[in-house]
Amino acid sequence: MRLPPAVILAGVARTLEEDVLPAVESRTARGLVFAALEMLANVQDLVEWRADVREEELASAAAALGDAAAQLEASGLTADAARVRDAVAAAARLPDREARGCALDAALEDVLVVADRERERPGIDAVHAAVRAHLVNQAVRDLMRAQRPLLNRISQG
Amino acid sequence: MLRRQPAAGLLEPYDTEPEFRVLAALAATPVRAPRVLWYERDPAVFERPFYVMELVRGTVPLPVMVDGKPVFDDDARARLGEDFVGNLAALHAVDWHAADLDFLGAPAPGTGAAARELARWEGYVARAGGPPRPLLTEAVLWLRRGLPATDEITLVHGDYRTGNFLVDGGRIAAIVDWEMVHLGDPMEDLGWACMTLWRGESPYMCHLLEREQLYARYEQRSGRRVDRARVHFYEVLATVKMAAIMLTGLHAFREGRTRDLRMALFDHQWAYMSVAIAQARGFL
Repeated sequence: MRLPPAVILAGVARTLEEDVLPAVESRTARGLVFAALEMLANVQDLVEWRADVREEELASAAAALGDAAAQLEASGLTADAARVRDAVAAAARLPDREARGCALDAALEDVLVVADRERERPGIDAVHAAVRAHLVNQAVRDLMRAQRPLLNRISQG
Repeated sequence: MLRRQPAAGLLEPYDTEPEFRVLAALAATPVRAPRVLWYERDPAVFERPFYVMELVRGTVPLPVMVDGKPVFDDDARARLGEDFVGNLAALHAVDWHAADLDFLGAPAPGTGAAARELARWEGYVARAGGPPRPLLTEAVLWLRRGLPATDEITLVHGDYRTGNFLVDGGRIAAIVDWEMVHLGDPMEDLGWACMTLWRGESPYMCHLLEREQLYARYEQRSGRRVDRARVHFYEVLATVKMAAIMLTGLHAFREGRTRDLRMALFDHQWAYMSVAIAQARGFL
């Protein structure tokens, strides 16, 4: 789950206008900042996160929850398994992709809480492992897409 | 050098007086820290409380490799690593009761130190709100059921790492950024220093010492045994704490309370945080 692009772009525009622009003295550079502001204002409500990337994440989460539900059932936790399957089905009916992601993440948390509560129960490790595998894969996927931070340049200006 | 209490930020609400009092007490110890001169509470002077300290000259190396090059060469690493451990051992040796630092609030005996820190950072996560973060939740659940007990309560810097010390003449001139100082388990500072975020792909904790070397030197300098299980607990807690700080910044940005784009960057840097949590939990 990430900040919506519109929130990020609006924040970038606000910073450019209120913090960067007052420090820019060159008329040419100021003109370019205004051009950037106009561009940001035009695109901010038209962009969204790439659907194929988000769908891959959602499919992975739903599959992990399916596995976890099966393992919960095998461990005798039938009611918990049913609740997880219901949550996945309810998430699938949500029209908004980000809302679906939120619902699936909440269901993943629910499974982790059950696994923690039932940690002495035989077979519960498989429940935890199903969710864990998805979370680790997701972390690695996110890392592969992340750009190397510019911490040194940000701190030194 | 004047440090004014921030109006808002990652660790709000702020109170700079505790760190001032700690820094004042540290003047009588071997810990290298800025000497503070006075504290002003009156908002009529600069709107918010502030304190004045002596200027410490030096540079602040950041825990980030540039173009794959090590942050320190071997000589610098050896010198600074020794200073890093020596200052930490000296900090943990401070008799905080004799130094009138009881006001920081000693945690309850046993699991009190771990419970208090976990509750503190869980509170930040809860206040930040936002969508569910299952990997973070998993780490919190693990921490809750494994609170370590200790009878050792010391001053804890709370953010002891490369990036929070000044280097001058090849030595650590001063440890800075004392805003998270508190009384707690000394293993907490070791766990924080061992977090992967401060070393990236380097085998050296904080780009200074290998893990076992850090433990061995700390044991030698402090006379205290390093409890690996406690350090591991605090290393996992360190990731929760860092996540809480990032989520607090994101929350402020989302709400439009800050124009600082570094807060928004936490959204993309969350990938690094997730991997750090997974590594600390032993999943990667």
